[in-house]
Amino acid sequence: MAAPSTPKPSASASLGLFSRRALLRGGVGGAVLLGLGGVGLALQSTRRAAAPAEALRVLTLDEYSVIAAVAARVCPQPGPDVPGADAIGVALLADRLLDHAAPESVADVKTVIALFENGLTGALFFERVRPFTALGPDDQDAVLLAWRNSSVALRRTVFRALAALSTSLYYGDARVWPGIGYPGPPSPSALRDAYAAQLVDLAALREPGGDPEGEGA
Amino acid sequence: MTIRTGAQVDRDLELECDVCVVGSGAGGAVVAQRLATAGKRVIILEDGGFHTSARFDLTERTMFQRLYQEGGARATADQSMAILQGRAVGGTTVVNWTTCFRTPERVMQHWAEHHGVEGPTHDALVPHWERIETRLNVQQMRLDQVNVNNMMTWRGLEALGWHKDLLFRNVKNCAHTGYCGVGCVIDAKQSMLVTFIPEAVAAGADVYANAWVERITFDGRHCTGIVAKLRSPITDRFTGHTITVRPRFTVLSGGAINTPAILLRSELDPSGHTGKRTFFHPAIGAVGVHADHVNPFVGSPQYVYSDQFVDREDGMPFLIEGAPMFPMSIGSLSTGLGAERQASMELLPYSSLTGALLHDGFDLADPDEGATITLQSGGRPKIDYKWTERLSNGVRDATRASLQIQLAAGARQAYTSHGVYVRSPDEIDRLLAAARWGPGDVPIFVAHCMGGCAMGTDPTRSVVDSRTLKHHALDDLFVIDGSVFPTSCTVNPQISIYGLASWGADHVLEAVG
Repeated sequence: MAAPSTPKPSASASLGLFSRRALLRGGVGGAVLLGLGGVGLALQSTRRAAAPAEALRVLTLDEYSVIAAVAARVCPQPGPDVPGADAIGVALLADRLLDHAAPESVADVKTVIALFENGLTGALFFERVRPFTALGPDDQDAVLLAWRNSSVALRRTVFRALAALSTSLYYGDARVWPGIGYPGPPSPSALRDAYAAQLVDLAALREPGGDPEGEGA
Repeated sequence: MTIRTGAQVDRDLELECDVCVVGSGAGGAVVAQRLATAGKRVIILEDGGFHTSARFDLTERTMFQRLYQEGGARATADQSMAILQGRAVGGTTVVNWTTCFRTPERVMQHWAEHHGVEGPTHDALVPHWERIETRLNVQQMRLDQVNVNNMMTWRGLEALGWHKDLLFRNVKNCAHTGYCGVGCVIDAKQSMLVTFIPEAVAAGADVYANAWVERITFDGRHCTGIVAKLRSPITDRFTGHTITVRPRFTVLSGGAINTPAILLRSELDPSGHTGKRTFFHPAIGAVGVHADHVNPFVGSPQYVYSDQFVDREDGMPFLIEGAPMFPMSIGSLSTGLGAERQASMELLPYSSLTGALLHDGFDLADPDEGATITLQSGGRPKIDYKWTERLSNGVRDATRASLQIQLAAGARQAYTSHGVYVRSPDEIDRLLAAARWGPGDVPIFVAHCMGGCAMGTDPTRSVVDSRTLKHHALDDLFVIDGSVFPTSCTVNPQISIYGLASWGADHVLEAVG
C-alpha cells in the first residue's frame, strides 16, 4: 500500500469533467477559450504555492498551485474541527490521482487548469487580468462564482470540474469526516472476523505467484 | 481451473477451448458456470482485476478506482451523466446494491410487440429466474430491517397514499453495513465473484483477469479468434503481452457499452445498429433534511420502492427507490464555495435520499432514443446520450415526486441535486419551474447500462437474434448480457440479465453439443 501521507486516490467521477469533449460543448467561444488555455498565454505569471514535501509526478508546480488555490476556496476554511484543503493536501492528492489516469485525461486537466488560471481568459470576460492565483481570497471567490453562474456552458463546466476534483478528494479523506458527522466505514477486519465462517476462499482459485491483485504488498 | 491476472502472464498466449466467454459479470458468469459444469472447456476473459473481499477497505476513494469502469470516471461525452459501471472479476455484480426485480411482464410484452422479440418471453424465463434466485438467496426484506434512511421514503409514500413495497435482495447473512457499492467484505452479497465464478472455475474454467478484448476476428460467418491485450494490475497499463483465443464458440458478455465497443472495434456492424439505443435509467432524486439523525450511510442501500409512476402516460415513467448517501460522492455534487458547501455537508447525518429511475427507451416516436456508443482514440467507447425535452420533463417530474415524499415524511426542508431548496409542498412547482433541467444543469448518476446490441428477429432492425441470442452475422458468436435489451428494463437489471443469460446458455450448450 502507499504510504499514509500519500493515500492512493481513486480516479473519481470528477475527472471526466475535464474532457475536451465536455468543454467544447461551449461552441466557438469554448474553442477560443480552450485555445487560450492550450497555448498557455498569460498576462502575469502564476503565484506559486510552496512546493509539497513529496515530489510531484504529473503536475508542474504552477499547475499544482492553481489546484491548491481553487481547493482553498471551494473546500471549507480551516477551523477547530475542520482541516483546510491545504492540510489535507488536496493538490498533492490530485497529482497522485492523475498519475493513474489515462494520458488523454491528464492533458485535458492541464488544459483546464491553464485556461482557468490565465489572466487573458479573465480579461476576455472583463473580470480580471491577473492570474487566479495572484488574487486575494474575496476576488478569488468572485471569480469562482462568476464561472459557476456564467451563461457560457464551458465556464460552468470548468467550475464544476475544478470544484468536483477538489471536493471529492477533500471529502473522501478520513480526516474531514468527524467535521461532517460521518463516522467512516466499519472496520473491514472486524467484520471479516465476525463473519469468517461464510467467507468464500477465493484465494484458492488464484494462480500462485506475483502480486495478483495489484494492490501492493 | 484457475484465475490468473495480467501480472501472471509473462508471454503471449495462444489458447483453444470450446467456448470463450468475454466478461465475467451477470451475463458471462452465468453462461460460463453452466457450460463448465456441463463439461465444456471454457475460458473467461475479463478486463477488470481479480479483487477479493480480503482486500476491500470500504472507502469510496480506494474502491472506486479498483472496482469501477475508468476508475469511476466513466461518463457521457457531454458529462451530463456519470456512469457507475463495475469492472472486476464478477463485473458490476461486485458493486451493485443487491436490489432484485424480475423483468416486468409488461416490458417483455412491449419488446415482443414493438421490437420483434421472439424467444425469451416472461413465461420462458420464469424457471430460469426461480433457479437463479434460489442459488443467490434472493429474499424480500422485512419492515423491521429497514434503516432510518429508507424508512423516510416509506413514510413519505405512506403519507401520500402512494404505492409502496419492500425490495428483494440477493444476500446471505447480511450485516446491513450499507457499503455494498464498494464491495462486500463479508461475502454476504451473492455476487458472481463468490458464486458462479468459483463454481465455473471449480468445474474447469480458466479466468484471465486484466485481459482487455481488443477485437474478434472473423472469416465469413465464422469467428476465428478473440484477441486480448493484458494490463498490469498495478498500473492498469498494457504489458505488451496478448492472449489469442481460438474457440469453437464465443459469448460476448462485456455488458452494455463494452460489448458494442468490441463489435465496433472488430468492424462487425452489418445492421448499423451496434451501439445505438443504449439506455441507463437516468437517476435523479431529492434530499430531505430531518430534525433527527438519519445517518443515510448506515444500513443497506435500498429496502423500499414504489411503482406509483411506472405506468404514467403523460410523461416519462419512473420507479422510486430509497438510496444511500456517502461523503465523497455527495460532497462533489454541491455547487457552493467553502462555507456554504460545508454547511450542507454538516447536514449529512440528518439527510435522507429518495431516488427515481427514469424509464428510457419507450418513446415510440423516437427511434434514436438513448445513447449511442462510438469509438474514440485508443478504441475506448464514446457515449453520447441524446437529451430530449421528454427527458428534461421526466427529470423534473421525478424530482418533484422525490421532494414530495421527503416533505411528507416530515423533512424540515428538501433540496434537489442542483440546489433548489423547498420547505413546503406549496413551493415545489414554482421553484421547479424556475430551475433549469437541461444537460449539465442537474447532476445525473446512472448505474444500469442496457442496450446497444438489441435483440430481435429482423437482422435489419436488430443486432442479435432473439431466438438464440446469436449475432445475426456470425454462426458461432453469441451476445449474452444486458446489451441485448431493446429498451431499458425499468427495474434494477441484475435478475433480468441472470435470467436471460441462463436461458441463452441453453442455446449455447445446444450449439456446442
